[in-house]
Amino acid sequence: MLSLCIVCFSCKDAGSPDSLDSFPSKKYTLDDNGQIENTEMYISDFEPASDCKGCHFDHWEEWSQSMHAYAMKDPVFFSGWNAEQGNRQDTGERFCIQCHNPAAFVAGENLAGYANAEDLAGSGLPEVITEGIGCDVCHTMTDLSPTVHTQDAVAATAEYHLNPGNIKYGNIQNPVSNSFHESEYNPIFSNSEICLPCHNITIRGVEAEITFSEWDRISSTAMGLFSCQECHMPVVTRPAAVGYPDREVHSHTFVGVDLDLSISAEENPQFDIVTDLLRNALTIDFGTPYDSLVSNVIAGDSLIIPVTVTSLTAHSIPSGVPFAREAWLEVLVTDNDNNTLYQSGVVSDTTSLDISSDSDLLLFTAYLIESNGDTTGSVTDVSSIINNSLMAFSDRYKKYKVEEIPTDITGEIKIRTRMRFRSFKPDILRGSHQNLLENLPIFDMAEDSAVVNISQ
Amino acid sequence: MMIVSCGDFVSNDTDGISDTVYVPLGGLDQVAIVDVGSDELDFVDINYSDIGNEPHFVVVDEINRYWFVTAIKSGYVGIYNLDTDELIDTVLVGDSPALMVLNENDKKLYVSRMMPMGSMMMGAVSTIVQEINYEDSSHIVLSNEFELRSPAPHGLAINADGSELYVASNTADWLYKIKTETGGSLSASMDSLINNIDPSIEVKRLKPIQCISLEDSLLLISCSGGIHTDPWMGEQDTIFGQVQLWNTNTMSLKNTVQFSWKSRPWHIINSHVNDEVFVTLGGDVIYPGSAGVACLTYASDTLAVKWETYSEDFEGLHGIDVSGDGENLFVSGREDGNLHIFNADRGEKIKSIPLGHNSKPQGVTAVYK
Repeated sequence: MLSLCIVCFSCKDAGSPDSLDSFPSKKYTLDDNGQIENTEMYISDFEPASDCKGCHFDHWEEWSQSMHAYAMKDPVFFSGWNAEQGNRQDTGERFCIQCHNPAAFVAGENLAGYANAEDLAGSGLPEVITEGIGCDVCHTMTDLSPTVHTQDAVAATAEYHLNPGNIKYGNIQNPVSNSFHESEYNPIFSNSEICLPCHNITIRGVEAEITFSEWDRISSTAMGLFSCQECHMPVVTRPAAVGYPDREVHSHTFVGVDLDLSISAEENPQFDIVTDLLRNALTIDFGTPYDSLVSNVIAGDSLIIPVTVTSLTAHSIPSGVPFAREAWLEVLVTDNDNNTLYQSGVVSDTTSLDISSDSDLLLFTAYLIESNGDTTGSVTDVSSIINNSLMAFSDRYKKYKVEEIPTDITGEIKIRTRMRFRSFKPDILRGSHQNLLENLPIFDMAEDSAVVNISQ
Repeated sequence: MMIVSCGDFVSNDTDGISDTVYVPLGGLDQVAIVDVGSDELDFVDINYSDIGNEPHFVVVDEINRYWFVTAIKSGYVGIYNLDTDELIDTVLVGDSPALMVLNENDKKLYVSRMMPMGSMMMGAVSTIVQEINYEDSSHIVLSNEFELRSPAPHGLAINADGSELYVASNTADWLYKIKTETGGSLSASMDSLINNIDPSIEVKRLKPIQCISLEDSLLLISCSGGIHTDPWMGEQDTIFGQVQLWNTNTMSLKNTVQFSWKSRPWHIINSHVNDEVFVTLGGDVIYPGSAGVACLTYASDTLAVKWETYSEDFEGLHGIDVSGDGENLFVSGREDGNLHIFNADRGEKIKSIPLGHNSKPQGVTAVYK
């Protein structure tokens, strides 16, 4: 059986500058099914986040509310993971675990058979496994990882370069010594690439989950501008550890677009920061570079409403799992008496978008296609993808046409647009995760409004 | 000729390289000064601003003995003594200074920009090329600026007598010829498919990166291409990475060489000894082996590939320069962290010099010291 050899980080030249020094890592090898053949790492090498809590409370608290801490609690994950284990008995357990539980992955801890988060929590397994993606996963990282390229068997292939133990690595260049652990500066922590291997995954050559590449393909990021951390781990000023002086450190909320849907949005501690992130992600304006919105329309004529959506985001919208998410433009046109003259993308609560009859719908999402040409919700069954996301820093133009403004109305026409976003398409949750669907918020990313006068 | 390798295809031709190469290290806020013959490294810290500097590109005035570096993050340009590598002065030029060209006779330095980034760089002055005067040996000053109708004036070249600048907009795919004396300009779309579009519109199809001015009014422009979305329909298509050959007298496109959409042509440099240019192919991280270097031959209206070299060892190839004798190429790997040395005639890699953990090497400039 062929082995995928994970090679220890090779030493750079032994030059004198610190930047040329190498960092150690422990090796592991995988077989064709993504199972550990050999590993130098034990699960006991990793420390749980609760060990960090005493000195790094703020970091711990932010992390504990993040999706990294939710990685082994999410009911949607357990559904998909269990399905994958049923569909691919040799590879399914490891494939998902390679990113949802890196410590268990590199230590070769098999987690098959846990149906849900409650089962796992009651399993007696070490806390560092049940907690998901804990502090040590990142802070034992000594070198960058490549993209996860997944072949037809859908076996795990993630390459981590970790050195679990007493040394904790980070991006503080002059860490204060302490009696709990050694601290070492590693410049990789300022890099977007540290989000690999998990945030760039291809399956059968399909660019399935490629947030990193969406970012990497922008010219300016190649020149060093804008890292993932700038938005998802913004800088805050506070002590790095309890009792130490203030310094600039990174927030550990890992804010994105997902929330723990087992609680209501209002109760969710990350709801406000997710809202803020989305509110700064794009803009909507009436007009395009080629057309402006008219100020006046003659009753009986049609009204053309040109709109430009401009991404302010350094990756696509939606990203991560774009096939599970959706962002769409709601357009509502009313008369003086609030009678609807035109609408597109108007939904409420948990209603699905009407993509069949709302022919004007401007929808940013993606669709996974399996080998028989059907759409699928399972990323591991993908053979191609239709990606209609809004690309990083790109514009999208759209013209809406309100046919024949009624001749019996006077005054003004009011136009309201909103770009709306859901982290899940409702149909993914409907039925099997109805309780989560009830808590699924619709975020308003941006809005604009205008008035057009009617003349007879 | 195309060379493709998954391993190290190392030539033993290591003797006789005596150039010194300046490589900004964006990840370390340093400029590496590499003695390519001995592999010895020296480092100059770029610490103009506490927010980080991200040194991006170096140009060298060998006549007056200066070198200059842009700090793309902090917005500074620094001037150094070429003999001592000591900092002389800095000037704040604003948002995202990127590439530079020199008029050594008049002691003028011209600085281009990178693209504005929405809310991340709200208020960015994104349509100007700046002129810096360094006649005073201890002090550099902003002396002029040229405003274009297009944003993100990134690709930048200057003709032999310093009378004309050539500027390519990274986001609008427009090319400008600017008279440095008067500021008068001519412009042309670089993409025949968008010929009549307003030059201020960011079409982002070709995405030109760097220009190089050659004799006989020739201009070569590297364009990174890649994935493009139709802004009306939302359909994605792929645009070939390419190098365009222009005549700057007529501002007309004479020829184009295309590479894969994954190739991402980046910096470009001409040979000092024959009619050849060399371009780095940055590649796409998802497609190992898509990064490389290509050599093109040119004439007044022809452009052809002489050789291409690709390897899975290369990641994000970025900057490039030619040795003083024209025999070797120095190429930075932004993601692989190396300075790669190639034989310029055949494209074989001679060796790679590691520049540091997370060093993010950017532009490359060679000096025969």
